Amino acid sequence: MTGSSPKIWHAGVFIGAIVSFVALGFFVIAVLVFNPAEQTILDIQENVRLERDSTSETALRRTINMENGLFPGTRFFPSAAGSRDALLHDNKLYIATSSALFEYSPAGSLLRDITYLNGLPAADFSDLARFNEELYLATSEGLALVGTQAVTTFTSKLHDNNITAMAVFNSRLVLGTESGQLLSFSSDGTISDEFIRIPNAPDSAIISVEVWRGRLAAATREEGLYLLEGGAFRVLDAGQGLPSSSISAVLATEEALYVATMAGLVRIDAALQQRVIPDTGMVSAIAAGEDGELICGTHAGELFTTDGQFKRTLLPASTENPSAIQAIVNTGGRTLVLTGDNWFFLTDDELKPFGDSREQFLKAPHISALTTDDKGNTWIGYFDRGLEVRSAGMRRSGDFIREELRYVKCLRYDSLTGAILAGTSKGLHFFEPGGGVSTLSADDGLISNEVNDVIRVDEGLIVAATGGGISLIKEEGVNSLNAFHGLSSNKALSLGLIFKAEENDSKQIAIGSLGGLDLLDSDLSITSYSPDSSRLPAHWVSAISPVDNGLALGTYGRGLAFLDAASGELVPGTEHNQTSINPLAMLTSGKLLLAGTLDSGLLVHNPEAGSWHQIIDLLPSRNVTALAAGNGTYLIGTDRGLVILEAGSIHR
Amino acid sequence: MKRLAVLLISLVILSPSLAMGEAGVIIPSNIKDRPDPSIVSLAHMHVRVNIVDQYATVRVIQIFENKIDRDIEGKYIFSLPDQAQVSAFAIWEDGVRIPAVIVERQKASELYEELTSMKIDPGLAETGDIDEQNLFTVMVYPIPAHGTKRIELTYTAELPVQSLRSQFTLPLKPSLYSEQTAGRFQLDFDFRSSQPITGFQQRGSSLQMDFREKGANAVKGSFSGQQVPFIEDFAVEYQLDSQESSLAVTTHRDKRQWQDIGPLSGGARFSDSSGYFAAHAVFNESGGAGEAEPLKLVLAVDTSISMQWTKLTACFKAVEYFLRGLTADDQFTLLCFNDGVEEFSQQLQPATAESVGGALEFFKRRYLRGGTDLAAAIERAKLLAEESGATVVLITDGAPTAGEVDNNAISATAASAGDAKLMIFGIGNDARADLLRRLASENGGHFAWVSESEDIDFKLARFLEALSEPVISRLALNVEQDANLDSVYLNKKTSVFDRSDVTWLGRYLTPATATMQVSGYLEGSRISLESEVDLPEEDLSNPQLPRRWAQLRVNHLLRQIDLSEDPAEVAEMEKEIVFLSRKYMFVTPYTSFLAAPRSLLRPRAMKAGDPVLRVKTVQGITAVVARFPFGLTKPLHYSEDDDSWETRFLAPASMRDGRYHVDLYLTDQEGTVYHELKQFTVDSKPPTLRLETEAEAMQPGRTVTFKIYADSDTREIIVRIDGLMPVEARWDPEEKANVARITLPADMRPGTYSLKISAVDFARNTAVLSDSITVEESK
Repeated sequence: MTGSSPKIWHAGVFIGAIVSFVALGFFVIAVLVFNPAEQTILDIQENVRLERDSTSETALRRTINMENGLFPGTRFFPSAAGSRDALLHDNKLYIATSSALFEYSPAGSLLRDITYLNGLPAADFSDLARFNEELYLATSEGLALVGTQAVTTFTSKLHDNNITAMAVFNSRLVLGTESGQLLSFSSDGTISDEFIRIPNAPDSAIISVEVWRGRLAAATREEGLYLLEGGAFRVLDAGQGLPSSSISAVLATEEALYVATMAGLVRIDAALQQRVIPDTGMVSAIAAGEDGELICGTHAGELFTTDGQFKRTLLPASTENPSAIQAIVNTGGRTLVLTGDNWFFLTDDELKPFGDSREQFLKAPHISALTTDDKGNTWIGYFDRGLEVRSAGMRRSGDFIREELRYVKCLRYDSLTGAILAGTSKGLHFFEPGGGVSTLSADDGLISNEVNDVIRVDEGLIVAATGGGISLIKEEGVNSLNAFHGLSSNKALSLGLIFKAEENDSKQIAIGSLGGLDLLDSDLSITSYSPDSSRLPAHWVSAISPVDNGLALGTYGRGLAFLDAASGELVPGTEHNQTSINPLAMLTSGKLLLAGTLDSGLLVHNPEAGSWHQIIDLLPSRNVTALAAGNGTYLIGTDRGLVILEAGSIHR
Repeated sequence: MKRLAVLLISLVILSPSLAMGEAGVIIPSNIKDRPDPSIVSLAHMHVRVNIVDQYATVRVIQIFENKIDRDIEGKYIFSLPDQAQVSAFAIWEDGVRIPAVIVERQKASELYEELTSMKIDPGLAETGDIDEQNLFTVMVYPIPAHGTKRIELTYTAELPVQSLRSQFTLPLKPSLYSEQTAGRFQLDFDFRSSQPITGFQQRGSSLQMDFREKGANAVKGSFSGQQVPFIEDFAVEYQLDSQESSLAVTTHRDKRQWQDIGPLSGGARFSDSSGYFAAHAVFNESGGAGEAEPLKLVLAVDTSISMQWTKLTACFKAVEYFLRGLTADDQFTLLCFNDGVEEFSQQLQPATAESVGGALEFFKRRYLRGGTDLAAAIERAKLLAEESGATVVLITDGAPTAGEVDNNAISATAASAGDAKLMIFGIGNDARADLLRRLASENGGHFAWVSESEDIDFKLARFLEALSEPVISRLALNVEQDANLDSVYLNKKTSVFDRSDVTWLGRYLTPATATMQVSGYLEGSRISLESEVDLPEEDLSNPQLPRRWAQLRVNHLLRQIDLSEDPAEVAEMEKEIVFLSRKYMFVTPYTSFLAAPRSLLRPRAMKAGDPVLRVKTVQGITAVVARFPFGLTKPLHYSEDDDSWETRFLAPASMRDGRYHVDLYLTDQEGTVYHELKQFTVDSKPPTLRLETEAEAMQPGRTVTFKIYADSDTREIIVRIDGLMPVEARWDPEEKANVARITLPADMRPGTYSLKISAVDFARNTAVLSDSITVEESK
């Protein structure tokens, strides 16, 4: 938080607390609501206004002035992948992805990106709607009204706030939720299920809401279509003629309602007669084309048109890099196609890329590994999209994207050679400073191609933790050890080094695995720690990081533990000991230990002071998956993108 | 994230290695990844074993019952014994018996394309084949709700004789899955031998056979029971009562027509005017007398990456067995090899307890390394053996990946490294038996093979005995009227030792009488056995002879094809192979088993591990999309390396341990969408372990019993005592616990030793229980 005023810092903490409390439920919110002595306005800070609904006392409204920004000094890099919806509003084109809302001019110039840093909830986004001339965004943490100056988020303590679909119906905004509820939002800001309630609500998410010929159609992910007519709902599912109850998209036109199921696209006419349109399996998005044609995209990435009889492919599915067509939207007379990777305008059967500044977006939102090199580059490993390199300014470094590496498990900078060592599901890759790339795989003697971690032990030895044991990589060849040799498990997850104080060059290799922790000496003797034999709090040791007197161990489900190198004593951490530390998501920086968790944000521990600090509000997600440091900043990978924090903000 | 990397998911998967040792099980593959008697149970099993002169024919009838109210798609797995060949297979469907047929491989492929284009899945090739690990698998669909499925399988196998002993094993005990129980089980055993036998005994006690006849030339018995758990294999062993060498000849001649019922044959009819004979010689020149010379052994042991997991355990067991079987008069050294060779000592050591212990420790501390330089290992071992007059014992899976990898080159290297005898003990279902057999044969040695899961004691014992048996060289079958015989082949590819047997199989053209003479040399002395033989006009008493001969004929033709450079000649030989394969029902490199024609071929191969969903499909599938139970819909990408579709997915943190299903949607080239359900299990908890130790006293030489109680999804439990070899704990139904019995070495020093018990479940969660034992001085 370097550079931010103490007042803003206070605001940040306050908002963070509210978000946390909303997650905790009714009781905490009630305390907040009633504390301000019956006043509608609960609190006002420089950027934030918090109100409650004065009639029902069940809704919470949070307004944030987006112009000033909430956390100066914090930068967020979202991904354009995971597109959800697009909408033309006030002569601007808005594109919602899973964690950002992009505002474009009709010509394709990026005007701004709106994220949690501008007041949107740190949540998954799913749908856009225009209601009462305002722009609304459905999120998994409530309904967001996106104005030009501020974002207002509406939540309800009585209903599911994970909103997945929206449509305007009878002067209300109808909301579909992940839990299968239909809610209505009225212009006074109240959220209710009284106006529209499904008697036997589905136990499946509502993925689309459409209004068709005066009827309301709510499509569910697994339980068919709920059609409201004459004040009653009727269900169309696999038992009522649909080829499948799994619905992916719905389109309402004047003539018919089109329902895309995994097994085929169904045309439903005014008399509710159904007809399956041939060759339309796995459709994920539909839009009306010219001359009564339909434009369809599939989960596998194929784009085609159909006149109801014949199909014409515009973009075939890729087998190597399939990317679902996520939305097809008519915007001002043009058809915008959103795929997982790209946005296109469809003109005369041709796809023309839309939108500038795309190079600043990440390849994918889910980051699995991070590191920096001595040139100031940031290496970003993705959960399932390979890796890419960004220069010091986070500009994409040429076209250095290695998507074929797929599942990146770890990235380590080797200070001895300047190389980046990348562990993936396809082996261990060496990215040399000169640009050369080599790969070590099971064909070369690695005990498994699944490389979960790698560490340089000394000039002549690199150790890889793999799904089959550990491999000791030397110039003369690869030696491997596994459970047969005494390791606690073949599935090694993390690595660390212990320097023996009494012996200058002597090191022990610490191996975290599914079975606990093993310390391997140079003579191959192994000392093991497991919950049964020691105070190790959990079997899975997912991350290892050096601390002053030994090692910090991240466990999955039981927080941190600390191993004293001199005594060999292992003690559990004093706090957050129900937390899951994500694999390799630990970093030692100065006196601080940073640990990324599965659902508790970022833990910051100062062992010397014995202090613990939990950071949630600065992040787009509580799932912190990778950590790195460089250039006075911390790089924090999450499942919703990359955050760069100035180091001072954490040190405080 | 990283829910993915930390939630371990075992998908519906059946990698072949998971299924070894299974005798006729059905996995309800659209529901579970392993057999579950609450879903599909074995209601009835009838096995008929017929052994005639060391040739076994085993007929298995199994009736499985679907106990749930929906159709089941099953995968039937039968693990064939070494060298066994399936000779018949059939599935019953709606009261109709659908027999499997042999189809020429190219035509099978065409047929497959044709049937799949009609949206009918023939279920051939990958589902009806026998793989390298000798697993016969076939998809079975549907097994109707609350209905039954009858499966028939027949296989044949030669039973070798070593040190005049032989055994027959019917694999019943599962190696990985939990035990199978048959609602009703009937086993009929019929044994006939021209050579008298002695010492016939059944091994194990769980299936107490009622032997109504137990003679020198015939044994008949049966077993019948209800709710019979298969906790051990059915096995018998016996000794050929041959006081001296002998020769027996059997014949068969059947001129009746037979019909080719293959789907592309048009029902063509054939007849065979040839007669067939088998000349079975049993050697016992030494009479079993005489004091054995001290052994000199060079053990060369494979420690390459491919030997990891259970193969390494079996390998250790073999090495320990060999070394602890030596006496102080014997000498040995040990080599460990992978891409290099490491020696325990450059000179042979007397096999004292200390040197044996040192060698075992040396072995235990070897790294597993990538690469197997088999040629270098053999060369080094033979040179060491040559210097000291020792025999080389090679223990390996025989998969050369470094140095010389060509079979001929390895053979040449071995030949050039001296005359030391090379005995080979192959380990693993994927062992390169062809190469190892050849190397043993060319270097005056013997080859034995065990799977990594079977009880290897019998084979180890026979192998060790064979080390001291002399080799019979220059073996030949001589017949006066040679022109009347055609295509005579020897059934052994390795060296023939005294106190073992050998069989020649051949055809005769016209009925006649003949004198057959077997000759050879044993340690410089000539051996000669003679028999007057009637080659009859008709003899239907040994119907197995034509098929046995055909298998040897095909092996011969395959070798000729390797050597031939004449395309026309090769084409002719290929044609004959296909003909013989179809006539006698065995798979060759040119033919496929077309089984269960109505089974559906859909994606089924998914690999265990981290939550990466892998799906193998037939060719022609252009897109695969997975829909997960937590709402995620994701396309799979095609990996050319693995020839499969895959995607990594993120299971939400809220997802609890349990079974889930994923919907798979596949699109083919014509846009047709197929829907498939696959199960997966989220299992984040390691097995819980409880230990009970039973021992009167922990003293050297005593056997200690460790009873380990673990969760039902535990797949492997290993008990390690500091300084001793690891021992796997096996399920003992009587104890109702996993039991490991460890004999403390006689030279074990008193003191406290660490005890570590590690357990791994199907999701690869690992639990480790650490304890210690205190060994007291012997009283």
